[in-house]
Amino acid sequence: MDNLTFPDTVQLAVPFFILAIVLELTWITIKRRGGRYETRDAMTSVLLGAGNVVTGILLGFVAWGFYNWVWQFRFFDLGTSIPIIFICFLLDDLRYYWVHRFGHTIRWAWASHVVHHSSQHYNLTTALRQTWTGEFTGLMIVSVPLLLLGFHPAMVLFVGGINLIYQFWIHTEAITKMPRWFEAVMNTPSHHRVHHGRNAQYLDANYAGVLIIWDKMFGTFVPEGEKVDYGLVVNLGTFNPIRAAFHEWIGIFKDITQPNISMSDRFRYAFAPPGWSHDGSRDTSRIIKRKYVERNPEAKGKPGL
Amino acid sequence: MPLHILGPMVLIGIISIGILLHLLGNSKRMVFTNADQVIDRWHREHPETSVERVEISDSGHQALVKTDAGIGLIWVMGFDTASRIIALPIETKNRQSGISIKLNDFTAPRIKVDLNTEQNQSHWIAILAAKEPSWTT
Repeated sequence: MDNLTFPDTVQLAVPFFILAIVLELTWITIKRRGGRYETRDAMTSVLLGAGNVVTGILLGFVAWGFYNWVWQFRFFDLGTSIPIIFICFLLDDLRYYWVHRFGHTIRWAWASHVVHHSSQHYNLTTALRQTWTGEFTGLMIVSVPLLLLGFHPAMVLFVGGINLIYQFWIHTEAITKMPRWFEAVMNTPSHHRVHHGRNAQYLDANYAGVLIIWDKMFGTFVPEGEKVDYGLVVNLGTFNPIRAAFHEWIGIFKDITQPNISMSDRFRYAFAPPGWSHDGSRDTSRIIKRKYVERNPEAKGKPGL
Repeated sequence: MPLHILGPMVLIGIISIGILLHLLGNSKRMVFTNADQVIDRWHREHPETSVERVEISDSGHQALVKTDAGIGLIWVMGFDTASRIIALPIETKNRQSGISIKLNDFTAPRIKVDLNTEQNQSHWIAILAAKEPSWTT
């Protein structure tokens, strides 16, 4: 079974992605609601998406090699039956929740993931705005329990691909709410709009991939309320995809190499939550929320604050 | 999917989406037409500051703001904006139709400001060189 292969679902979905973007754009243009598109923003997103596919082809061997190395230490071999693939999908979605949460709360991982949040728009092209540096975060280590349990590396990558494809359609303002039962269990456009919000109450919320239940279980769920303001706390000043892809890594490098700070501070600049600074000159999400409540006391106790 | 199919498909897809977006009028840029608009956009990223003065460039694509936290620069990014608080004096360069401001920011290393007259250029340069009393006190 070591030579097991699954289709590369993300690559196969590329024609569907392009078609869906054209359909969403047509819908928004005709209806004059349901989102907005800006040429350079959308171009940045799709170029970052294409770059993500290229880096996946060039660097994919790193994760694949690591997964196969871990696989030799597996406790079981669970095979490839349909129920096992389904269980693998569910557990991988839990894995995704934590990888995503780490991606927002550890600056080293945020340096990679920030790219996805760097658009001030929210449409299907935003879904394609993906990192070029995911392999550098080391977060592939979060898949180790799945591999040791006996889920084959190819299967783990396959269900991870399905997870990403699911998340494509939720990057839209064209769909307001899904049926109540669906909103209760699944990640939806409404839940994920919250995740892309830079509003204080929406920071660090709704990390789910496919099932929103993980956020509800781990206390990070925030329902959509006030209008979402998309983008970063400090928005990028460029549409250049190369600058967008590497800016936070450059920021980390500048911070950890500055003079007159301790080794502990250098470590924190790399691994503390984004916004941490040794002199308090920047704000983490927690501080932004606290300051927001100080300015708006009536908001105290609202979800996410 | 074989690369010789995936590559051209992605390339054609990107170019088609770009052309379609442009033809549908999505390449227009926001224009600052008044100070209130600038202040509103500024507060989006700097809600704790209070704005005392605003200077809008001739194209309406850039503006300077004087706040209680220092001087700020805000510029248009498509339909949206980006902004930074800047430390004066700051390096500027003359351009054919304005000036450019050098920022210590990897995502915005140089912001071009559209200023049509020498008088406006001199005014902005004086502010950014911390030589304009009404902007430094």
